[in-house]
Formats: sequence, structure tokens, C-alpha cells
Amino acid sequence: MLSFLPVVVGILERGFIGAFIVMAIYLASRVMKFDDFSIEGTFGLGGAVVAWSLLHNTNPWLALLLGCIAGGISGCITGLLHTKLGLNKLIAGIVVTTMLFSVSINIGGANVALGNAPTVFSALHNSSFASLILLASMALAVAFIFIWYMKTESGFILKSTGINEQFVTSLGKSVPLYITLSLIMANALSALAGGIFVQYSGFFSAFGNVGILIAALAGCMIAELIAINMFIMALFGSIIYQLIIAITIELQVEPSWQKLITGLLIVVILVVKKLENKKIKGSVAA
Amino acid sequence: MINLENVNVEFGEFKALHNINCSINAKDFILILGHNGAGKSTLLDVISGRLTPSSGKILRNNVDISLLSEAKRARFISRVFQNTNMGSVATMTVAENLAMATLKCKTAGFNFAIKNFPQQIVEETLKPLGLRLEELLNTPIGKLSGGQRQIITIIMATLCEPDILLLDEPTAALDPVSTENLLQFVHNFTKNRNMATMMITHAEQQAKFLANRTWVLQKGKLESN
Amino acid sequence: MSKKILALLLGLIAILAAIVLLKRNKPSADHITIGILQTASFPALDDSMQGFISEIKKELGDKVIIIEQNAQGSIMQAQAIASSFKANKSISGFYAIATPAVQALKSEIKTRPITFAAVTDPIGLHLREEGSNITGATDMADIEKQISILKILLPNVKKVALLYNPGETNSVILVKQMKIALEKYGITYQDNGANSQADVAAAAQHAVQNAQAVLIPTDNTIASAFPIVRQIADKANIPIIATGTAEKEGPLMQFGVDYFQSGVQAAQLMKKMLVDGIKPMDLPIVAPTSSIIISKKALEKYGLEIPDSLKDSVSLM
Repeated sequence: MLSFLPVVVGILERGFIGAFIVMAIYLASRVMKFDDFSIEGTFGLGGAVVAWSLLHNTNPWLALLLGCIAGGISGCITGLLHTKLGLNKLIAGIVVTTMLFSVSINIGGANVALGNAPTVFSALHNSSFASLILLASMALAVAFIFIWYMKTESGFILKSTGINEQFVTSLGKSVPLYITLSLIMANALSALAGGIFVQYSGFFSAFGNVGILIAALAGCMIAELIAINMFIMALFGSIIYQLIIAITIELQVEPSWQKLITGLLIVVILVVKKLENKKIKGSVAA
Repeated sequence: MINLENVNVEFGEFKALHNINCSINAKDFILILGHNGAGKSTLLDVISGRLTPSSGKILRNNVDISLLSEAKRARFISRVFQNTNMGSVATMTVAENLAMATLKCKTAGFNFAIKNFPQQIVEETLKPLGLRLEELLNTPIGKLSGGQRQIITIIMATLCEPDILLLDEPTAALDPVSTENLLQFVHNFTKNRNMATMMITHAEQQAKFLANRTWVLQKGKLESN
Repeated sequence: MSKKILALLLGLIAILAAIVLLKRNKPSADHITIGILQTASFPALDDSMQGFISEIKKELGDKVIIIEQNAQGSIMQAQAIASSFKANKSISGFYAIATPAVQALKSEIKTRPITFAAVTDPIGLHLREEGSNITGATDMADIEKQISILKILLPNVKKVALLYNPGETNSVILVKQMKIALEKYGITYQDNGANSQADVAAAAQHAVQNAQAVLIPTDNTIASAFPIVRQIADKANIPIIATGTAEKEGPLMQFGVDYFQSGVQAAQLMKKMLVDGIKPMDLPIVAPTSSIIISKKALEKYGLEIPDSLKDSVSLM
């Protein structure tokens, strides 16, 4: 059993980091109905900003904040490209992601190690559970902030924007403002995840964000399958995804098949969802 | 209160509205009649700000508002669409929708939105209706019937005391009984208010009793005023 | 609903536990288990893998069990593999191929020995700090020597185009050194970045239009799209000088970093640590055996001859 515990701890840690991106995807794709590709780019941007800040002797918490702000600005740009210049949502996201790659490698470099720079985890290395607890409380704190926000007046309008833009306009509120606001939040979250991941792994790589979007999407779909409150479910969805990945690693599945497995996972979730919907409809009819 | 002066709306060659001049006063109830494509909805679009007129002016208390955005005009011009889905958020409950509608009168902040629920509506409006809508407050509004939903939508649209309420075929998607109920509701609901109402309808005979004025649009021109 | 989550979570954990316990409970007293983490599938990295495996099997025979993992370019995946490795106490040594792999392993594994190959700048990555458990083989070639040979072979070249992916750390470091050496020999240069394989063609096109030779560092992106670079350069009649593309044909001159050999060296280091008990910090980082390969075909094509002064230091192919 002793050899099993660290596996679970690792899964939970990565799951909690992934949860921020799952929340970001949920906020953009599901709440705002804006499939924002730039979330992948801002994960890298957040990492680059945090790596740069740490190597310039910034407090690690302040570094995370700077990463978030950078992510938020990037989200704002995606939003403005869509709402002001009328770029298609997907294209706006892809354009920004493309630009972010250059920005990230110029801020962080192609690959940079943090060395002995202090991180939010470095003080905790004595206990194996301390990092896990820190990550869990950060993820929970962010989830609760969003649960609270979604109940506020502003949160209500934000939710409504994704469902019925005309209604929001009828309330005299600016639709572009709320679209942009949601992208700012989603991208700040993704950048936060990128920043935490850099501090957690001790290095930044320009390709660190590869595959993040699909992993988070899978996490988001798992979360929706078990939905109670999405922001809490984001944590579970992300953890379950990491569990599945860990199983494929432990099974030593031929690595070149792993991406297929992720894709299949998403298909399976869709099928399960569809079956469930039919079951509900069936019982109503009966 | 609201005046249109020489308003034209053109889509390329096509003249959707042709030199419209009219005035709408407080307490007016105006029925707008006309064939499909006569420009009825376009007239409401241009008043509510969904469309900017190609030429001409829209005045509110003698101030030109024709360049004001739809969102900015929403504060004093409310609109209800014929599609019953457009006036509310289907996934949210009736109470949440009503609470949200009050945000039209103020900026959305970080208070709990549900605290804005207009409690007086239950006693003053919903219970007297006798349609037991007050029992559906915690139901997602998307689960209500079209007629029920349209009543709630009209209540929501008037919560912030607009100058003018625009009803775009509110009964089009309803069955005859619901239509009757809704028209009765609109009558009772608007008669003691200071606001003006404009209603597009094809059910002229049924709705006649509501109106003090009737306009007919034909090929973009206002025929009778 | 919450029952469903619980069931799902517990079910998955049970599966995981079953696999972990079943797979790991094998007695490993007379066996040595080695975990290999490869960053992605590129020809050079695959060579490093094969070199390591063939050498470690030669050294340790049947006693060795190898667990092979590939992160497929995903850093998150690399991290997940590293943490799975960390938890697997039966693994006694680790082999990391390319920079992200060694970084991921470094962040998780602090006590058991790690060797690496295909890493260009181990010092810059803080791999060799006091008490480190890491050593390995770099792929840093002797850039200055290469440029000096370039100057002798192609004395008329005044400007070269550097073709690389600015997102690859190896390339960035090599290009930096190339620029210093080029300046020293009075050759001007121009950067041509390709951020992905899709951009390689455009970058190569730009490169051949603006210079008399194309210089390519060890770069996985360019290497995997090399055929297209070769085509474009051939059409424009511009010679290619490359570092370790693992391409047999095409480049006029290749500074071969033998990645297979790097893997062999890493395996030897691993053996010294595991069997002979030498501390990683007592094993210096190994540099690659670099050879200079000149293509006969390309020589003919460009009407060049190898000066006598070079004949001993290059091999024709």
C-alpha cells in the first residue's frame, strides 16, 4: 500500500492544478458559450510570467498574481477581437494563442529552470502532504469564489449573457462587456494554473501547454456527467481525468496511443450522457 | 413623449420604413396592424434601438435618441418579443428572472442577486391573476408554458417603470385560451399605469378592446394615425 | 448524484490500486528496474532510447527490467509519469531523454540516480548542483570547430541563414553559440524561426532567398520536417549545414552528434551508478563524440573539393 499512496497524492496534486483550467473551460465554453482556444495559450503565458518573475526575485505569490493579470489582459484581447473587430470566436482564440507563443518564449525563454528560486511550495518540502493541502485549498478557494460570484448580480448577468444575449441587452447591460469579462476571468484562471504548474514542476517550457485544452475539456465533460455544482465538480472532473491518465501510465499502454485514449474517453462520455438523457426522457414518457 | 420625425429605414434598395411621422403619448395603447413585411417589427426595432434609422430622428421628451444604443435605451423602452424564449433566461427560475429584471434600474454589483426579488409582485400581481403563477416561483422559467412565460416576461419588462412598452405579437405562439388570458392580463396590467404601450398583433378583433389608437402599416408607410 | 461520483472515484481508485499492486509486487531482488522517460517521439530521441537499451542490456544482461514511457510532448504528461515513477519503489534508476523529461524527473525524484541524454545545457538547467542525483550525456557539439570547418570548406560564404525553432531550448542555446562563432569568422547571419512543423517550409524558403548557406542546429522541429527543407534548398542551390539531423542524405556537411552513442554513454553512466555505486556528482557529464560527415553527392553538386587540411578530420559519405 505504501507504494500506492504517492501515486494518489500525485494524481490529486495534478488534478487540483488541472481543476483551474477545467473551471476556465467551463466558464468560457459552457457559461459563456465561447469556445476559447486562447486558454491553452494563457496557460503558457502564466507559466512564462511566473518563471520570469521568480528568476527576478519576485515573491512567489506576487508572481502568481502577475501571471493572472497577464492572463486576464490576454483574455481581454481575445474578447475585444471578437466583440469590437467582429472576429469569429474560434479565430480570435487561435490568433491570440499564436501570438502568445511568441510572447511566452520572449518572456520565459524556450525552457527555463527555476533552480533554487523560492516557490509557494519550497517552504513545504518537509511534508509530503503539505503541497497537496496547499493546492487543494487554493482550488477550493477559487471554486467557492466562483460559486459566490455566480450568485451575485454581476454573476447573474454573466450567466444570462451566455444563454440569451438579447435579454441582457434588454436589461440595459452591455453584452460585449460581459463576454470580455468572462474571458478575462477564464484566462486569468488558466494563467494561474500555468503559474502554479511552473512552481510545482520547477521549470517552464514553451511547449508546456501542449495538450492542456483537450485534457481540460475531458475533465470538464467528466464534471458535467456528475454535475451538482460545476465549480466543485471541476475539481472532481480534473482529478478523475488524472486518475484515468495514471491508469494508462501504470498499465504501460503504448504511449503513442494515449492521445487516442483521451479522444475515446470524450466520445464515451458523450455516449453515456446521451443514454442518460434518453433514460430521463423515457421515464417521463412512461 | 416619444416622437418620430421623418424616419426612414432602408436595406439597400428596399425601403422598410418610409417617412414615418408619429407621436406616442403617455397612457396611449396603440395597436399596430398590417400584413407580413409591412414594417411593423421594423418600426419597433427602430424605436427600441435594434436598428438605427437611415434618416430622420427619434425624440424622447424632445431629446434626440436615435444614436443611443439598444442597451442604453432599455432603461426607458421595454420590449417583449413574439418568441417567448427571448424575454427571460430559460435555465433560471421565475424568481431569479424577476430578481434579475430589477437590475435594469441599477448597475449590477456584487450583492446576492436573489435579494432583489420584487416581493410585492406576488401579492399585487400574481395572486390576483388566479393563474397560480406564484406557486411556480422556484421552477425554471423554461419549464413554464408559453402563456405563463409571456405574462412573467411582461411583468419583468415593466418592473423598472419604462416610458413605453413594446409588445411584438406577444400572443403569436399561444393557443386561443392563453391568448385570451394574456390580453386580459395586458389590459388590467397597463390600464392604471402611466406608460404607453404599442402592440403588434394579428388578432385585431380580440385585441381591439385594449387600444385607444390603431395604426396600420402598409409597405413601410403609416396609413392611418 | 453524489453516489455516482463516489462510485466512479472509488472504482477508478480500485482499478489503479489493483494495477499498481499487481504490477509492482514482483520480487525484484535479483533484478534492476530502470524507468525511461522520453519527452516526445523524434528521430534523435528515438536513437538515444535505442542506444541506451542496447547498451544497458549488454552490461546488465537479463537482470534488467525496463519501463518505457513517452510523454508525447506533453509536459503535464511528463509530470504524471515522473510521479508514477517516484511512487514505484522497485525502480532503482531513471533515464531521461531530452530536457523536459529530465526536468520533470528532477522535480519528483531526489534520491535515486537519473541519467540523461539529448540535453544541451545541463548547467543552465541546474542539474548539477551540490548533492545532485543527476548526470548524463549532453548533445552540445563543439560549435566553434564546426564553424571553422565551414569557413574552410566554403570560403566564399558571406552570409548564412540560421533555421531553427525559437521554442526549442537546445536550438536557442546552440544558435547563440553559433552567432558568436560566426561573428568571429566574419560571417553575417540571419534568423529564420519556425514555431511548428507547419511553418518550416516558409522559414526555409525565406532562408534560402537571403543567404548562401543554411545552418541548422540540433532542432527537433526542423529535423522532423527535414525533407521539405532539403527540397527547398536543393531547388535554390543552397547548401545545408546541419547538426545531427539523423538524415543520411541532404546536408552538405553534418556535425553528427551521434544520439545512439549518447544513449550508450548514458547507459554506461547508469551502470556505474547502480552497479559500481559511484555517486552521480562524481561522474562528470559526458560530451558527445562528434563526427563531421560530408556528403559526396553534395560535394559534386556544388563543385567543391575538400582541402587537404581537412581531410583527416572529416569522413565522406
